[in-house]
Amino acid sequence: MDASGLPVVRNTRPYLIGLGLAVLLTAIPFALVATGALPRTTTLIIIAVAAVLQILVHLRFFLHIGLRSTPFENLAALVFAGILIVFMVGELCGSCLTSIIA
Amino acid sequence: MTAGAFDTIETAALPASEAQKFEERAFGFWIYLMSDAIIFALLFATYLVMLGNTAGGPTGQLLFSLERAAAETALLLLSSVTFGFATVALALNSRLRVIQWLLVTAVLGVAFLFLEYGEFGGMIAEGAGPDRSGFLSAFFALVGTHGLHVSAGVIWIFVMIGQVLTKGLTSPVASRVMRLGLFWHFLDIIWIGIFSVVYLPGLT
Amino acid sequence: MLATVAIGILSFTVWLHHFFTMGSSADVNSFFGIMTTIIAVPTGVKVFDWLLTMYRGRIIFKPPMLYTIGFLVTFVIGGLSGVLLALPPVDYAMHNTTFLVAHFHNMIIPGVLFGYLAGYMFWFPKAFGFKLNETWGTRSFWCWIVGFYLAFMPLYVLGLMGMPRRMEHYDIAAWQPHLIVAAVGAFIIFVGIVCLAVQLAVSIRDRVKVRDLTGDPWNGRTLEWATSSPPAPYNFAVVPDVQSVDAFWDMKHRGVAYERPKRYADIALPKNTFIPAFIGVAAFVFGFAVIWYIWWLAILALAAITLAIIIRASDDETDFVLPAQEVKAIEEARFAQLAKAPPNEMVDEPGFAGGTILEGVS
Repeated sequence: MDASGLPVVRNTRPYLIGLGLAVLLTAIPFALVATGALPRTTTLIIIAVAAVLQILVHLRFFLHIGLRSTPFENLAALVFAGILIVFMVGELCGSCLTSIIA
Repeated sequence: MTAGAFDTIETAALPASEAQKFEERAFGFWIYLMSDAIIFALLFATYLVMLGNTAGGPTGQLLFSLERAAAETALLLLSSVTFGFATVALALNSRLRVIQWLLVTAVLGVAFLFLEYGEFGGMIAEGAGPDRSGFLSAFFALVGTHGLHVSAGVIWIFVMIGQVLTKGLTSPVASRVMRLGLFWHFLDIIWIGIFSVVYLPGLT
Repeated sequence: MLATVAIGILSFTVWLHHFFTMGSSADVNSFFGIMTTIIAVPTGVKVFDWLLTMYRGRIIFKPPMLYTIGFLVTFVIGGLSGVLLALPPVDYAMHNTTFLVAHFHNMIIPGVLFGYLAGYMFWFPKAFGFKLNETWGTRSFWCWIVGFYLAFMPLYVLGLMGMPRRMEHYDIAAWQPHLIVAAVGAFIIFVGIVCLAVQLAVSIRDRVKVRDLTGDPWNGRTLEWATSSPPAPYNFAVVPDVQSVDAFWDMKHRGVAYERPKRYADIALPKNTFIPAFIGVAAFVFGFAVIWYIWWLAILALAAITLAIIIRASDDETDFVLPAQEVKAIEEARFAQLAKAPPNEMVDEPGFAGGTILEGVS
């Protein structure tokens, strides 16, 4: 995205690249679950990593977010939301897990 | 995808206040999306906390279907790409292609909703509704909220098709399509989270 | 500012102190307990900032200032009891007692209410064009603050004596003296509320007499006081030339506060619309219908909201342009009113340093 709020991307290349990467990052976790080839914990870790990577692919190739092309305030809002998400999800899961274990 | 020697929507040609207006609206919509992201994050966290609270009822292993989750994922991912094609058509000022790609996106979105409402209906019919257990309440809250967002997005796509048909590719219409694009891609990002946190772990 | 940012971040790490007693482990409780005590530090920094802002200044005890000082003193006390409650073991003992009730009223009444009333009395003239009666404002303040202390300080003691909250009746004689004092305090607060109502009624009755003709009833420092009361729809006809942090104060001292602009430009403004209010009402109806399972009404309200949004989203002409001529007419009327205005009533107050505020008006 850029500041203008109006369309600027004039070729389909980013979307096709994004599609390719996303399909890969989706197929791997689905295949692992379908075949059960790896132990559960490993599978879960791969699912998590693939998800994070695919989100980045979406942000870059579909939303065209770039460190230089995107206005600073949009990046700031994204980072702030990210910080809050890490805090809140971490606190919720952390309190739940440690309460069960403790 | 016809690329033509058409005029594009030049921001330079807009009076400064007009261009500024669209910038502000795009930024405002982005702020809304960030707040929506936080809401979804909390719904995800709640789901994780509630994972084990099945109250003697059915678990994800029993209820979820890998094939359906794969189909839903493919539909949404493809719809994001087709929306991207609509955006490119918009930049190239091709009215026909914009309408075509928006329509394809809407059809893919409706197909996704058809599968999802079907899934929910089936679960409720066999007694695994949101009132069965804490786990299911959290499931319906998370996946249901996402589905409601997609439903709203589909309505919005049809509204935009209507606007492109009646008003043409004016800059207000274009800026609205761009905001819809932000919304639609955002929903696909949330879906990545959903299949990674709900369906896949539930089925391993 | 750093303190405020720190509080902004830290405030996401304290929330579990609302359910210390709900079964989380000691590790979890202690994390949130520690974060709750830590957040008191930047809060203290802010209190010192406010005190130092007042220090060596010349303070004029108008009602907004009274409420502000009342807030500072009372909020700190409430914060102290909060730091006590931040310790999970103490919270377990005080949970659901009147100690807790006293604490959160000790935060909300000065923090939210006094802040709100100070702002209400301070900006009322700007919004509505006439001042609120100061005598009744002062009376409301004293009733509120005396009433607050009488009503809630005994509750701290009662909580330590073991009195639970939300009791329908009690039969422990030792509590009675405290509760009688609290009842007297509650009555005094009621009188304070009556004073607020009387203040509003009297001010409306006298509104023509107490009209704010200059837009600057408090000899203010910031830019909102440079506008008329109420301000024009565009707020400022030309972008003010800001040379200092206290921009308007500085303009008054330099004699340029009310200069006529060299030329007026067209101003783009949003059109008025009732759609947001309509959506609000429809959303209220929707919420009501969903709570009471009135499905037909819920669907109707949702459809109404959707329709309203679509209508607004299809509107390409949400702004209009106010021509320079009209801007000029509004501004000329303002200058005419300024010329007729009596001198600022703050002229007689100790420490008034602004000189005549009508310098620069030709």
